[in-house]
Amino acid sequence: MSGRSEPAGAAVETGTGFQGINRFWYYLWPSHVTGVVLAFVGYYAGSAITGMFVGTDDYHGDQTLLIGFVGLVLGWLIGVGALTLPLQWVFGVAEPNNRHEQERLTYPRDGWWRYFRFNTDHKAIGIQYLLLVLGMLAIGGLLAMLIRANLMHPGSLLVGTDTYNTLVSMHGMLMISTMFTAIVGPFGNFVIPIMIGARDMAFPRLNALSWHLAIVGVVIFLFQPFVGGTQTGWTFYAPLADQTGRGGDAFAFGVLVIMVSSALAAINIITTVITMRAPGMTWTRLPVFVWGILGANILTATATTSINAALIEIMLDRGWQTTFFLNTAPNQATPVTGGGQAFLSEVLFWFFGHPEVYLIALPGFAVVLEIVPVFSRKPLYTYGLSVIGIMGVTAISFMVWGHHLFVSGWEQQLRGFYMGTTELISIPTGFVFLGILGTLWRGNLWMSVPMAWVFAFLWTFLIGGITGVYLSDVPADIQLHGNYFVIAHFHYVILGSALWAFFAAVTYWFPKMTGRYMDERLGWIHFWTVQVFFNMTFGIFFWLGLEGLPRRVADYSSKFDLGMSLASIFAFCLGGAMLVFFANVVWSWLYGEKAGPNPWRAKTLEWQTPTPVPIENFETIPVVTTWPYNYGTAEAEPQATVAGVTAEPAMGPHEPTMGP
Amino acid sequence: MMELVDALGFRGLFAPKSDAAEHAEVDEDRKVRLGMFFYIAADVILAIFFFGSYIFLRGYNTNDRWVPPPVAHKIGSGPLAATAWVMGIALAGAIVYSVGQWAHHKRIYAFFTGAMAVALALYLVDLAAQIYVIAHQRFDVTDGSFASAFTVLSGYHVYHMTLGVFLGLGIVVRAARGLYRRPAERGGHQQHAAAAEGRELPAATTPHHRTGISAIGYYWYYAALYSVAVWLLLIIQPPLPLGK
Repeated sequence: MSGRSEPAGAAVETGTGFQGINRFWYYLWPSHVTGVVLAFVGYYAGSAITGMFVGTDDYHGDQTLLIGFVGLVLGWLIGVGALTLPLQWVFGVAEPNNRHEQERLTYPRDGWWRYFRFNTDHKAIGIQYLLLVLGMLAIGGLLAMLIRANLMHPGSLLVGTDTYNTLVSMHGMLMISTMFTAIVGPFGNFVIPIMIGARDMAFPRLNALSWHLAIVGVVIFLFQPFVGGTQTGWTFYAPLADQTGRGGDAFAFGVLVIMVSSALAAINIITTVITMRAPGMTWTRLPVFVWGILGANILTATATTSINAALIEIMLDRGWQTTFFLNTAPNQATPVTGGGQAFLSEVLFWFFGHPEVYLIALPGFAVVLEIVPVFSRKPLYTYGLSVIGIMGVTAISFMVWGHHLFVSGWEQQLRGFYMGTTELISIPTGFVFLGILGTLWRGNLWMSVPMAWVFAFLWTFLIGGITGVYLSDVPADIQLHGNYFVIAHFHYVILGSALWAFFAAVTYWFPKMTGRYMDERLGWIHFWTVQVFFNMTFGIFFWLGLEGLPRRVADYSSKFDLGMSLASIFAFCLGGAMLVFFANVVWSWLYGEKAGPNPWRAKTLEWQTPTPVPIENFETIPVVTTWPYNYGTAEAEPQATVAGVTAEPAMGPHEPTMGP
Repeated sequence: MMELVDALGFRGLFAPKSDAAEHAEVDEDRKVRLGMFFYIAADVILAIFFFGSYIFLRGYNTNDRWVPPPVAHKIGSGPLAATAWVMGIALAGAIVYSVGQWAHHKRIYAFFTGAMAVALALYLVDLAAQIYVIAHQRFDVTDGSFASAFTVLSGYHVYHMTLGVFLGLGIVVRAARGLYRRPAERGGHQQHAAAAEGRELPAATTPHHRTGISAIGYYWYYAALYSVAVWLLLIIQPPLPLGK
């Protein structure tokens, strides 16, 4: 896999006798194997010790489970070696900037096993995030198939209503988590340091910690069905969040760990972009992809704190009988009046929830803006306005969350302000569209698979965005809130911005990450089948919503039977189409056609490096001399010339005849 | 004044590379301090949401449910007095830490190490005091939403102190091992020799040697300021309504 360089003449240890044991132990400790083992130990130790002190009755069981999860996380982190270095630092053993130690933690000689370690190389972490995202997407998609199977016909519920509600809750939050990690995780990690001319992230060990927290958070989140499920929907509102089954603890704790992971990663990326740009990489020469990721990570570092506060307070309510959100303490022998307010959980949630959707959308904008000049062979139109659009969305996203609370019963006079700000945010979004369309206009278009996903983004996000403007209007929202119209709207915007851009990003950067092209035929099959079946499924949802079908219901009136049946069938087809993507990724990774260092003749720095990218990215840090989007102009040079890489690579086998 | 700012590690946080970093690929000192700054910024925002929960719940105080009547007589000035003690010890620890930073800037390494050890001790006392406060209030966490909010605000200070003690322990151990000095100075010989010969030593330690101390100093100052903020909150938005 890409990113590994071995010293010339490196000896390979033989594995006999004592050397064999040493070698086995070297690979085993620390690694994900020992992490899993110690995670189990930590979970049982935490819950057993807590159980000894508090018992396992109804509400103490929440305490036991939560402390068990704390033990699980600690055990996992100890087992993978994440806590070794902080302890070495405390005792003065490790020097933070020791180059030898930093190189050792990239495990350059371990082959594929380096991806099952606490690897600090940003490229390896990018691959780890890609695998994690693909796993989350598969599980979230499976949950969607189960939901649609249950909704095939009225009364056709295959599982109980509690289990159905758990499926809905899990699908929602898991897919949201997947989408905000999908681009920032794999491509923010793999690409951004190279793109700005750095050797790695600002804090490589923190970067590895972020991934290891993300995966354990997802695992804890997936505990839910095994401990009683969660029947709240993805929003996890109180008072239901306080009262739902034990699965609510897994939901809350898992999401909290995922959010902390994202916040730490965001701090890392922001610091990297500010302090580690190569000489000559001024803010006006920064690739637009970096701007988009920067905006998304500003949102991540700030907005996730809101849901963290809500989740901590909910866990305290559940496990320790505080009364943040309840008027009375549940499970007490004598209820006391507590003065809690369930509405506080809605406020805290949506203060996170709306920036969160822009956290999902901004990386998608970033990918599309990055790709479109490459495949139009034209400079990026209104680069400055596109950046203003990205930062404008970042800023205004904090001022629109009230539109989720139009029918919550809060002060009616607040509705007008939030209606205004919500409509206002479509203006900076329009700047982004202007940049894309202006670049496409009269461009020398190369209709490759990544470019196809750019067009899909335009179409899908436009529909989702316009329906969002309808929903931002209070009278329309009063009618449409909580029904299938809203489901259709957010699937169009989220899939349109994040998922299609994720597919574009995977196809675009796959040659750099793996050294191989993705199979083009499978790529086109995946593209067209997804487009057809996605629009059939969620187009029907718009109609169902206008007809009045509420969301999150396990059963429904027979008048919606035809629509729901068709939607389910098309959803199954969509699931099948997604299998083509997974198959393409696996097949191409193993057997795909080999690619050169710059198959797209792109001009940003990551394409000026060899493939596989060396551990330290550059022999010497390049000096950036130009803007990265001078396609088709007289100054058509890459952003910098990196030692050992041809400045103008020969045309790749997939490239039609075209200009510079 | 600027020398004090420099000693406490606040210079050049948002500026481009310092002179010392001109020949390095990355200004490591600024990178670490900026990273800590952003971490603290995120921590501040989380604290704001906890404060916001307190204010929100108090604002909904109707029918004496914010502090239920059976609990009201137990409140008294307990929370405010307890928070004042915690705040005082945390502030003392932060002041001693800053004195230690000044000593490091002046290359009085023995005093620097001693001051850091005293600051660590004060933070340990503060951590213990905060835990004691939480455990020995005359109300329980289930006694209404004030009790819940006060507990989470105090508990968050426990988190700050725990992390601060861990970082402070590292500072003290590493200071004792001489890791915050230039290699040639670690035995103190240069100081003695220069003093004996009546000459001055070269310029102060490079930013590299101050990086950890500065960055962790940001966190310690923030933890102390957090306790001040909690105390002010209890004054501005007291547990009991006016007139009660």
